[in-house]
Parts: sequence; structure tokens; C-alpha cells
Amino acid sequence: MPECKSQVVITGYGVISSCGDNAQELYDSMQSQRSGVAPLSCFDVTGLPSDIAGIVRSVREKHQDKKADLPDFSTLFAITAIEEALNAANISLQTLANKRVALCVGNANTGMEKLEKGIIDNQHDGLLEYPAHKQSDNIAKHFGVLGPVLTFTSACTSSSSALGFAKQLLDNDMVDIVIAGGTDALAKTIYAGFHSLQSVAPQVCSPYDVKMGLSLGEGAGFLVLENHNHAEARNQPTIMQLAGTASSLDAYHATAPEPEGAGVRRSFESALRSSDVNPEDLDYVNTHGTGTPANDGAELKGIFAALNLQDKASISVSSSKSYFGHTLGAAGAIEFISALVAIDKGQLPSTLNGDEIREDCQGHHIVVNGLIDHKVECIGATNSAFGGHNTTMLARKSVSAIPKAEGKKVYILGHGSIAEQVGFSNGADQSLLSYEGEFALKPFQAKLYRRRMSTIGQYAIGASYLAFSGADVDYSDAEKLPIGAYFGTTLGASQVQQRNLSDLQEYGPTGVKSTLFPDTVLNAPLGNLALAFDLKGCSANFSDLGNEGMHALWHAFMDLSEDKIACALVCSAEDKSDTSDLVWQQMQVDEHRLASSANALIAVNEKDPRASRALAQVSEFNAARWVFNEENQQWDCAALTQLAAKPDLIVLSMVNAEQFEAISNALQTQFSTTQVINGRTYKESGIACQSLDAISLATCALNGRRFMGREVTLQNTSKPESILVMSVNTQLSATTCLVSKVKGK
Amino acid sequence: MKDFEDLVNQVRKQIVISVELEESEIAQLSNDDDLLGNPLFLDSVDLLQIYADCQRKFGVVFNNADYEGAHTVNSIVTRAVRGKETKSANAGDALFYSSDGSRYSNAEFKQHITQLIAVLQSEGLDKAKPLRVLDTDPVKMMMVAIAAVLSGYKPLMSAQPQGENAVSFAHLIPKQGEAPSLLDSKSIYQQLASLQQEAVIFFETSGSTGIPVRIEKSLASMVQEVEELTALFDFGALDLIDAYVSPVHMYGFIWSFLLPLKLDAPVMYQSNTFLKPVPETMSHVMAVSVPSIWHSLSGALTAQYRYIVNSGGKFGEQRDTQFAELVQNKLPDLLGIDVLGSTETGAIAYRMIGQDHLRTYQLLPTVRLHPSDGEHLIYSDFLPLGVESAPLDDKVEILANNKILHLGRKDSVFKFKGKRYSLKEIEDKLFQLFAGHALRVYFIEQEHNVRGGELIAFVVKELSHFDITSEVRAIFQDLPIPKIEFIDELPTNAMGKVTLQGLQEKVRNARV
Repeated sequence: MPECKSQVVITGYGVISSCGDNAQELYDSMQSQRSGVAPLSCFDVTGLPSDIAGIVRSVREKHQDKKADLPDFSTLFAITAIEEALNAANISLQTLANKRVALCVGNANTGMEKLEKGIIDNQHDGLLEYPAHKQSDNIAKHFGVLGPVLTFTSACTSSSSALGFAKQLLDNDMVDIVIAGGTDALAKTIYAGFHSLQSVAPQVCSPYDVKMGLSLGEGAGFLVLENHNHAEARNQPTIMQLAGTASSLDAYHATAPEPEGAGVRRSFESALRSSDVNPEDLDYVNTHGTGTPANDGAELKGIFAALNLQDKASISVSSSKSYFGHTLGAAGAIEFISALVAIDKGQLPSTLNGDEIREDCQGHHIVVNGLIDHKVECIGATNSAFGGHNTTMLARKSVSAIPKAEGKKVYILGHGSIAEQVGFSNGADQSLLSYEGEFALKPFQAKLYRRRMSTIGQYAIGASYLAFSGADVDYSDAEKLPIGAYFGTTLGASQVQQRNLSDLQEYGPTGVKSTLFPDTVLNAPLGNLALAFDLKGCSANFSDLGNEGMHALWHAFMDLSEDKIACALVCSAEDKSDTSDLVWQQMQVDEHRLASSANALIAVNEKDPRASRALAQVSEFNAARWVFNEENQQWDCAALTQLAAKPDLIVLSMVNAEQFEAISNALQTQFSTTQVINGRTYKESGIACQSLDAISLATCALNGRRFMGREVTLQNTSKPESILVMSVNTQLSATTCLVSKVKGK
Repeated sequence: MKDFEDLVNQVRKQIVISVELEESEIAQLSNDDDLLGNPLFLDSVDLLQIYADCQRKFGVVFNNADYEGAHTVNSIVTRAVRGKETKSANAGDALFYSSDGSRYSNAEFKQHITQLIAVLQSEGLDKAKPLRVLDTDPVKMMMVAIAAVLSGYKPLMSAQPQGENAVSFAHLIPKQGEAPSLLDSKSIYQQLASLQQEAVIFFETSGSTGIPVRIEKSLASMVQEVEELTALFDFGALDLIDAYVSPVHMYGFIWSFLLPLKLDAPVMYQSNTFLKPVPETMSHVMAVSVPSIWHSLSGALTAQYRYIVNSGGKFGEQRDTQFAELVQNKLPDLLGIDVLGSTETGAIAYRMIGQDHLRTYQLLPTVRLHPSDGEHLIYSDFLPLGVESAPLDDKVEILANNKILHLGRKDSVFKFKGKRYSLKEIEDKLFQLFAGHALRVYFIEQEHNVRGGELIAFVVKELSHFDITSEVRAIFQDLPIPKIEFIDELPTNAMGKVTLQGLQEKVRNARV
């Protein structure tokens, strides 16, 4: 952050949806008011009251006969969209190979069709392609991206979250180029699930209209982002500047938004604060606008409360979902691109199929039934998701240097963990709880328990409670500033998903339950945490194949460093089921040693008065893939090349035990005198929890404390000052950070 | 009573299973406790699951209205009982398929009308003035309109969403108490057919001068038009009317509403944006359409379709050829009826698409045309209330065997600065000036305008302004030069027509 300015610009975009395979086809559809939502034929929806959706027919029909041999459709959608985006940005594969490039992918339900086939039709091979991060890994490999690859899984805000983090990576000069956006493929379980909630409209959805209900869709949208000086250096014109991004949590309900739009308001206000955009600068807001009774009015209330304008018709608004349906994990990016596509032609997108604006949406200038001509300088875009997660993006045509405050230091204040039939927090070397079989929250903290809470939700809340206790942070203080919440999970609530699939198999699409479906989204436990601890600050949800916990911490670090929040809960969790076992078998991970578990950290920035009792400072986050260099017969990882400090100790945690020695030796080659300790010798972490376990282990090592009741054995140094933590996932992608002693302690 | 208690026990057991309650929890619940409140405090997703499971368990279908109001064990049992009764009453009955996905049996349709009639009695609305129907959903719109007309009101069918003396289904139906018993054992069509001439419906058209025009039609004349059509064509085997035209328009009211009622055939109303395929079980379908949707509709036609009726604009040579090819190559049993007429005249004549000459129409048996001062007067039972004859807006030539040759629209003459001009002449000059570009020209009469009104033309061309150069003046010579608005395309309404109102709206939107 040498100049403390933000000048992140969009230099290309690509999109594929039911409205066509590229941006021009999308515009043609929008211009002719044609919706891509049409009768479904790609899976059986017998018995459901509606049978329409926005399906990407071109890709599905092309690959219909060889589906079993292919990755999930979401990977194919993403590749098409990214190719268009890179072409538009004039970036070749060779350029990608020579630059520091990150890939940020949002998705909500990718791999679901593979899971359905795997479990219901016993096509187990396909389960390899089920995990959300597998799609990101496929995409990264296709384009040769070796830098950070992050998977955002906060349901319908996934891709807007990805765009927000992309901006933060560029603001901090960690990469030269970010490919960011989202992709999602519709599947029977999802279609049936939304029907169980009675959310699906029988006709093409018309947000804000008296006709209620949403239409579902699929597709991908990706943008190329870079810093303005980088784009200028290669004479690449900018499309718009991404001027501000933000997020928030409702802490209200698993699926319904807070009725006054308070969460949307907080997110929008935060985005305005982080940019130099004033409410009166905005010409248009592309809203989430699903068409459901609960969303549309509440969202408008939230947006206009944040803008605090006298005339609520002074800014045009519309939702793009009538064109291609609700594309869930891809929604934020595709809808944002739909606005860019229209703006490029001097127009604004509209809501289709409108007859009469519903009562709680009246008085606004809602663009209905056809594009309108409108010159635009500055726009906003909002999205909301299950779990009460909200995001905001602000973009404008003219590029300015937005001042940024100097980054705040970030500290770990406490940590907790539940695994191996015990629970620990940093406050005690002895276990604070024990249990047999699965952990049950109700006997431990009845007030935090809610009926039908998923196993993973109970673990996450239990571990977070221990972390709050260890940090001595009173989450129940009504006067507290909004606390951020960041969550990582590989497969989410696999036990719930297993029951969900069992219902689908036994009763067909009408058998999917409204009581289970909301818990199958990967950020459902994040929603549980928000409700349990009243967390309303910034937020993100990650999935990876081993590094998701550290990705959650990385995002928290960014938001704390930028002072968007002063305190954050970071949690990772997983549960064990027959379904998860089958998936790990296909991933060649020894599933027998995996069990349900969770861990959590409380982090604060230097402005928080509680920082004075911090356990450790975290900094220097980075990520890259380990690659074996055939020429010099060595393993290389670009994440280490930018590391300025020389650590006293390295904590290495790897899912693939058989590669541990090779990677450990490579680290030893670079840091010859530094001891490398295997995080897994202290705790048999599962996939999702291994990276935060490694952070907690490092924190304990710095402070001479036991980890999970076990002494941390150090060889060369008894009192390390700084520890490099490296978590390596099943695909050999590493995420690193430095955990160091708090100065002055 | 015993059955009710048995159902109560079954619902209680189902609640335990649906939301995974413990026995101790359900024991605290009385049958009148709100499920969302004390003692269970269930969530909305819990409630949805309970309803879904109860529907499956009792073999009933709840509609949206069932999710409104209190949610107690007793209310769920009541809904299940009512659902069973409705299911039994509706067995084998014809349905209205609304464009919003709702379905209504004839019995439900009639029941709603009965309820609406009861509510209308206490609404204090003005029976002397047109009663604006605000609904856009065709079935709800028709239920309100029919209830109104049966109650002595004069419903106004309009695309305008606002206005005084207005009602809608949503506003009326929540006010209902217990459902009154059905007032009349006769079918709705029979009830409408028995109404006197005074029972009328107003249809609002966009008007050629930008000011909406209301046309008052008697129910009796429209019923008579349906009777004449069903005598002319063999519609008896139809098992579905696939309606692309809303009954807010008179053409739709007759073909998409009265005709299905008369035939006792289900009708499926399509939305503008999305064409829903007809159920596979239907084998004799008629599509009620307008020319502008032919492109979308033609690709969706299957052997299930036996008739396509078209009105609201010229079907045109290209579509006519495509229709003939479709019949020859794919759908030999398909017949097309092109109806000539308007809201002002009712149906005048028809021709068989793909068979008859493009401009030759057969007059309906009861319609007569008489030459008068270089134009034709129409005498018909389908004219607006109180109108015995009216000048025809089209140029026609009367042929033998009650046939006519349609020669297009008549020229309009307007008075500008006290002088009379031909709109056609202005249009010709504009075509000369903007060769190859589509355009429309209108004269909007304005009471306080010293010129008598505004002459305005809309031209599809990428230009932002228009200068009156010497070249332009030379073309127009002594004719008034219209104000020119440039637009990117001609907007069409739901009937596929270009209207002055639509053009003005497009210009306004472009300036926002």
C-alpha cells in the first residue's frame, strides 16, 4: 500500500447465462426484453408447481452425452466467461503466466448435480467434482493461475464477496491482476429446495411487481480487475472504477431478510464510507431484487436509508433477475455485468414482466419493461443471501485516487476449539468440556441452541463461544460496535445434505423439506453464528480443500486492517457423515481420521482497547500453489517470494500427509535454520479446520502455552518471536501468514 | 365431530414429525395456540414444512389464501377439511389457468364471484360511473368484472393502473366473511346471456390522439357475437383455449373469456414474456393471438393446435405464407381465422389464413355495410351501446356473396390553423424525407392550442435533432411540418400495436 490510495479498475468482463453465451447476446436479450427463463428439460421436476428456469442450454446441450466425464457445469460456464473477460481486457495466457494473478470465485451450489448422481445413482467417481473449491481449482488450472485461488460460498452474495476481496488484494498491491466473479449450475435439489420455501414464481419473475416469487437460473460472470496504473501501463482502457465494496450480516433469520433492511443499510453505508462516493453521485442501483415478498421492499428500505435522500425516486433502481433468473452464487457478478453491458450502450437494465408495482416498493423510480436511455457516471449494486449476508459494490466511470487510511495492526485475542471429544480455549490448558459421540450444544449452552440446529452449526457455535470466553469479549453487550464474522467450511452441513438427498431420492422433488434446505447452503453455519452472537459487521464465507479457515482469517485481517470493523469472529467447522466420507474417499483423503470439529478465533485491530491483551499479531498473508519445477527438481511456492520476514518457526499443516516431507524439505531449503513442525502431530485436524488449528498452534507456541492440552515441542528456539504458518490443501495450494509476538509485551 | 378430532390428532402427530419436536413440547400446545407464538415459537420454514406434509398426508392442495391468517392446529384441520371438499367439488371440472400460475376450477371461479358480489354490496361504490377494475391477472380481472356487472355496476377494463371508483380482487376478497352459498345454479355464461342491454362493460383504448377513449359495450351484444361465432365455426371439440390476449381488450374478452365460458372449455392465459406450453393431455387447442406474437407462437405449435385466431392487426403476407407452409408440411389439421374488426365495431368479417386471399374477407352473417358519401356505414349488433350504425374507418370494396375487399385504413383529415390537411399526405412527405425508415405521424387535437393541435411524427432513426432546412421546406411546400421525434424502434403494446401513447412514453423515457 505504498501510496495509500485505491484505484482498482475493471478492464474486462465476460458472462454466460440463459440470455446467451457472451455480453453481446445478453445485451440483445435485454434490448428485446426477452427472458432466458424457459421450461426446464435438464432434470425432472415432476410434481412441483413450477417448471421454468434460466438454463444455459448451449453448454448443457453440447456436453449432454459426456456429462459423467466432465467437471461440473459451473466449471465450464466459468471458463467460457473468463475467456471472454480476458479477451476484452486484452490479457493473454502468456501475460497471466508472467503476472501475479489471483482468482476469486463465488459459488453457491456448484457440484450439486455431481453429488446427486454420486449419492442417488452411486456414481461415486463424480463426487471428486462436488466440493465447491474443486471448481475454482479446475478453473485456475485451466488458465494456469498459480497465485491465490479463493472460493467464496456465502450463497447469493458469493460472487459479490469475491469482487470485494479482489479489490482488497489489489488495494494492498498483493497481485497485479485479479479474475473475480462467480459461477453456478442449477440442480434438482436446489430447484426443489426453493420450491419447498414456496419462493418460486410460476412465471418469469418480476421483482417489485405485485406478482410474487423468484425465477432460478445459472451461469457465470467474471471481471478482470487491476490497478489503474497497471492498466495504463499496458494502454488498456478502463470500463469503470470499483470505488467501494462492503458487506454486513442481518443476524435476523436463516432465509428471510431483516424487514427494515438494516443489514443492507449497514453494508451500503460501509461501502460509501470506504469510497469517495456521495449518495447524490449515484445514478442507478442494480438491486438484488429477487421478487419474493420478503426481499424487495426491505432491500429498498435499506438502500435508501443508507442514502438518506429526500426524494427516493431520484435514483433509478432495477433488478436484472427477470432476464436470466436468480443465478445464486453467480448472481452478484452476472447482475453487475448486466448493468455494465447496458451502461456501455448508454442505458439502464430493467425489470421485465411488470404489471403493477407492489405497495411496499412504490414511490421509487423502478425501471420496468425495457431498457431506458440514461447517462451514468456512478452506480451501486446490492446483493443479499441466506444466512442474512449482504454486500454492496460502488462503481463509477471516472477514475480517482481514493485516499486510504494506513493499515491497522491486527491481533488475535482468543481462540477455542471443539474436537476429539473435548473443548479448549486459550484461557485454560485443561479441557473445558467433554462429550461422547457428537458434540451437543444444548447441554453446554442452552441459550445459544435453536431447534433443529445442524451438527456443524452446534460445533461452530460451541467453538466460537469458547473463543469469545478465551478472549473475554462480551458478545451480548447491546452497545457493542458491529462484530465481523468469517467462516470456512469445505462441505458445509454434510449430515443435513445427506438427509436432504435421501428425501429427494425417496419422495422426489416435492419431498425436499423447507426445514432442511436452508441448512444445506455452505454459509448456513455463518448465519447460525450471526444469530447466536448477534454479529452484524462485515462478513465472508469460504470453502477450500484445507485452507478455508485461513482464508476467512485473511478476509477478517483485511477488514480489520482497513478499520471496517474493530473486532471479528473467525471460525471454521465441518461435520462427518457417510456423504462426506464418500467425498473424501474420492479425494483420496483418509476419511477415517476425519470427525466433526470446529475452531474459532477472535481478532481485533489496534483501535480496539482490548488489543492490549492480545496473544499474537497476524500479518503477511499470501497464497500460491506448490509447483514441482522439473528443471531444478525443486518444489516452488510463489507465496514465499514476497515474504520479507525470516520466521523463527514454521508450522506446516497439510491434508496430504504423503507430500509433507517434500514440502517440509522445500521450506527447510529456503529457511535453513528454521524448525518446521507438523501441525497435525498436535491435532488430527479435519480438512476445514486444519488451517485455523495451525494458527492457534502457532499462537500457543508464541505464548508458551499448551495446544489442545499438548505441550508444543520446540528445538532451536524456546521463545519464537515470529512463526510462519502454512496450510496446504489437497490440491497443493498453500496459504500463509505470519503469527508474531505483540510488540511491547 | 369425531372425524374432526381424529384429524386434530393426526395434525398434532404430523407437527411433531415435521419440525422434529419432542413429545414434551407438543404436550404444551393447545389446538388454538398460534404455532408461531408461545409455547412453540416455530419458524416460517417450520410452518411451510407442516403445510407441505399435511398436504401430502391428507391428499389436498392448499392455495395461497390458506397461508394467510392464524396458524393453529384447529385452523390447519379446517383448511384440510375445506381442501378435501374443494377437491371433491372440482373433480372433472374445467379450469382457468392464470398467467401467474394459479388455477381455478369453474366452481372456484363461481364461488369467488359470489363472494365478490356479496362484498361489492357494502363497498359504497358509484354504480352510475364506470367502475375501474385494477387487476392485471386475467382471471381475477374477470371475476371482479363479472361480479361487478352482475351487481349492476359498469366495469371499466383498462390498462391504466389507477383511477377513481376503482376495485381489485386483492382489495375486495380479504373483506369476505364466511363464503355465501352460490346465488344462482345457472352457469356464469347463462347468467351473462340473460342480462338485459343495460348491463355494460367499458373498454378503454389508447385512442389515436393520445387520449384514452372509453367504449361502452353491452353484454348482450358481446354474447350475441360469441353465439354467431360458435354457429359459424365448429369449436365443439376444443378442450383448451390458449390465450395470448388479455380480456382487458374487447377482442380478448370475447375470444379468451366469453367463448371458453360458452364452450365450457378451460382457458390458459399466457404472460407477455414467457410462453408456457399447453398440457400434453389437451388434444384440441385454439390459440387466441395477435400478429406480433406469431414469430414466437409458430415455433411452439404442435399437433394439439386446431385453430389459431388472429385479430388486432394485419396478419400480413409473410406470416400468411409461413402459416400455409406450416399446414402443408407439419400441421394439416390447423385452421387459421383472421378477424377484421375493432373495439368500436366488434367483429366485422373474417378470412381463413393461408387459404383466402389476403385482403378478401367474408362478412359475418348479421353485419351489413352500406355505401354513404364515398365511405361505408356499418350496421351491426356488435356496435357500442346505443349505436345503430357507424362510419367504417377502413376503405373497403363490397364483393359478391357477402364478401369484401379490404383496402386499408381511411385517410385522416385534420384541421390545422383553420385549414384541412390529409395526414396521409404528411406521411408521404416524411417517407420522402426519411426514405427507408419506419415512421408514424399523428395530429393531437388540443383545445387551447391556437393551431388546433400538435402535428407530431415519430421516426426510427439515430438522430438527436431535426433542423427545418430549405430542403425540408421545399418538400413540404404549403403543408405544415410536423415536430419530429427520433426513436430507436417503434414500441408495441400487448396487442402488438404501435400506439401514440406508447410512442410518447418512449420519447419521455429516452429523456430521463
